[in-house]
Amino acid sequence: MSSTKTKMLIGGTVLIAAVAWLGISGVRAGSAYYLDVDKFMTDASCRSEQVRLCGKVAEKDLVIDTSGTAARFRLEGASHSVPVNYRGVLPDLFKAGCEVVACGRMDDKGTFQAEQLLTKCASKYVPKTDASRRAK
Amino acid sequence: MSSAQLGTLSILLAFLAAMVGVLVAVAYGRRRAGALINAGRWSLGLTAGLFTIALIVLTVAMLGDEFGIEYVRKYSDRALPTAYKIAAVWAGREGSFLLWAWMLAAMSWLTAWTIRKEPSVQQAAVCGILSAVCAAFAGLMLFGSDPFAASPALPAGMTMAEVDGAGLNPLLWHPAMIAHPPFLFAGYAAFTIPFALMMGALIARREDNDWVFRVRRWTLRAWSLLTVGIFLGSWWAYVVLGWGGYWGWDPVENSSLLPWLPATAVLHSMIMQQRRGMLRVSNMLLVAVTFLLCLTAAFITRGGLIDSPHAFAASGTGWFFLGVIAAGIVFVAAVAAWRWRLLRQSPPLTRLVSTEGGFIAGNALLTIIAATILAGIFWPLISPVLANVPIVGALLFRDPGTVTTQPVTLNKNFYNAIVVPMALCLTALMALGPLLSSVTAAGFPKRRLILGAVGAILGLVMSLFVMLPDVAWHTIEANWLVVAAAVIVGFAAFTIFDDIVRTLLRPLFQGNGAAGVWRAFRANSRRFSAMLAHAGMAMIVIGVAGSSLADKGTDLLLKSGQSEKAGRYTVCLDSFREVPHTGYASVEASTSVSTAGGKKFSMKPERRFYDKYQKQPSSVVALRSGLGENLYMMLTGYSSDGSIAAIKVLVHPLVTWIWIGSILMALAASLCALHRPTKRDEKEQPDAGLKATATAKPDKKSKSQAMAAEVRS
Repeated sequence: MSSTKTKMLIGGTVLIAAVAWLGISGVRAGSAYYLDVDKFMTDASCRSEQVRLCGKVAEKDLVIDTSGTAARFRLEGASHSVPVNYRGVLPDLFKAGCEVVACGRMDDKGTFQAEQLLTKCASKYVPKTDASRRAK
Repeated sequence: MSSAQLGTLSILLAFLAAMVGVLVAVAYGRRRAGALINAGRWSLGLTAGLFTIALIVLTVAMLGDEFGIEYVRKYSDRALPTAYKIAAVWAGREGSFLLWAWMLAAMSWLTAWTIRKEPSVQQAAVCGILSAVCAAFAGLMLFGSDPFAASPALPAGMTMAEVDGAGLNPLLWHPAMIAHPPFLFAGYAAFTIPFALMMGALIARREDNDWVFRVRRWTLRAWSLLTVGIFLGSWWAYVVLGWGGYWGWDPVENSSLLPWLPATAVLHSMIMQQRRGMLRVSNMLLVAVTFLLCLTAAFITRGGLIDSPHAFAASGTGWFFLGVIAAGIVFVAAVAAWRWRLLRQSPPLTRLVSTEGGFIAGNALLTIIAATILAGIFWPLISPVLANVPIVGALLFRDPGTVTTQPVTLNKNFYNAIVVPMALCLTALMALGPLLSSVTAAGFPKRRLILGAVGAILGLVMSLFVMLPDVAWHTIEANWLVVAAAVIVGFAAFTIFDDIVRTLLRPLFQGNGAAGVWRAFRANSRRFSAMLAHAGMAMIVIGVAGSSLADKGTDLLLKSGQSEKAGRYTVCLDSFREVPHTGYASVEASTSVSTAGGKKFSMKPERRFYDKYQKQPSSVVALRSGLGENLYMMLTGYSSDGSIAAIKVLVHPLVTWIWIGSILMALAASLCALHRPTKRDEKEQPDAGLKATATAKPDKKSKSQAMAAEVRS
């Protein structure tokens, strides 16, 4: 009886220790700061980190590769902007003026190298300007 | 009366009917009158009927293009095909709540009827709890998410006949998206039933275990519905979102997985309670947590609290769900405290290496995975708090100071680091678990261990054989996990196969013929469904492990008539043109693909431009599925003069196994839910169980025999 309890206690401790170790290394490996462009550009401390950068794709300077698998653009916030270089399949909703979240980090030359681009999910997206659309 | 008024009125009346149901249950607590039980049941029936009316009204409005209703105007238009008009009923927040509420009320009513023979206190409590949840949903629709809200007034000079809706979002134009929400919401709704049954039994102070099978049966039903829902969602993500994956650890995907995990735990460990009254506390907690996580899923996807690409839209809905979840936690804590003595009556665990021990370990692992995912979803909110905790902050963050002001999110590396090893442990437990029931004092049954080992070695050899030629081992850590998965699955597959074949073939060798086999099948249907579910899970593990080996794909730039190699395939662009359709125009790249083996087939990736969503072109992936690998082709772009098409070609090994495995699991669970407990199950098992527990220590063999007998029965 007590030996079962002891064994469970030992097993539980081992499990908790393993989970704690996995958890700490997992958090360290998977952390990404979620920032808007203004904050990212004004705060030097987060420049070297892996971040999720949210902002608007600038109307001009948007270059999409013929293959559709690369793009260069400026991501802009309210007051700052940052050049972004992305390689990979572009999301369908990606276009000038749309809000995106770019995951990646800044390189030495000051270009943000994005590994992943996320656009707004359409199914849950409630249009802000319903009235303007109705008028059409 | 307009249809919108009729709809709103039915929801209002449903709210009142459900409130009456709650009051009736409370009244029964004070004065035990039989009429009150009937009243409670009828009020649930009335609620279900009224929600049915509301749902029919909304569907008819969708089909009839009644754009006076804002919800119809937002999610449908005149040109939408009929099937998608019906799907538009649950395309948005308000409609999906109505669907959820309707399913919940219908299932509640069914439950109220099926428990007529149970003690009346339990009946009253169950009906009261179900009515309360129904009332909450009706209230949500009345005071925040009204599916029948009117459209804004028309501009001057415009008549209703000229108005057209905004149309269904192109991403939802897919068969999987017609079926995904109903299955998911049916699963969420169905998890309310085991919760109510469990709480009802506690309130009624039931000391026997005869009611437990109902909880387990509803858990199985809900679990299989949710499994199908998750499968459809991930299949949709695979074929529609066009990023070449089926699971991205996105908050929305994660939230659907959340209730699935504790539900998986409880549908196993409930067996222990059914047979012996064990694990009462953890089962109660798991059932409650499953229910609360269903609400949490709605809170995450519809609440807008977590900033994700999915949840930009904020609404008051979040606060509502938070309130209901808080109320649920308080309720569960109160009932648990009130009935603590009953809950503590569970017989203690006597041996660690036993079926019970296995279930406890499984509960622990599944809980850890669920907690990981929950923490991952809420990490942007948790991290600033944790960063302030002295040691923890320094351990977790490189720079805790900045985390207190800037939210941190966790990407797939976090989930993979924790969930993958845990899931592998779980799969190993799944492989060993069924053997636990026949563990004797001498240890595991040798023959099956040897068979399992043969399977494991086969898995090892096969995985190495497949991967060795083209994998750089020292660079990719994940490949060792694939080998581990193959070993575990090999073990599981051989033991499962052995179990099924031996049970079915034994009657043949005993000379009982086909009838004997059928009898053996019938007698063991519950165990077989468990084995099938495990086989399904093993297939999913194979699929996940295999698809993790996929490469980054090949980008082709092709002119008409040109062909190029992509791995083992040669892709030739036959034609590239624009094709008009109703509702959309599509740019199609017709390709013919030939394999090294000489097989030829055509594939047609396209890019669609929907009339209502001109600015949102959507790719339609061309997919050729096979058991071995899927060929996945996307039209990623084209030159402005239309002469060159850019095509991405991806080869995904074994993804189909995930789909087959999911369906197999869901089918197995529904098969298991069909199993009716016989008189023998109900009467003999608890006795046998108690005796076995009482005598377990001095005589281990008799216990394992008793357990083996139970498993067979």
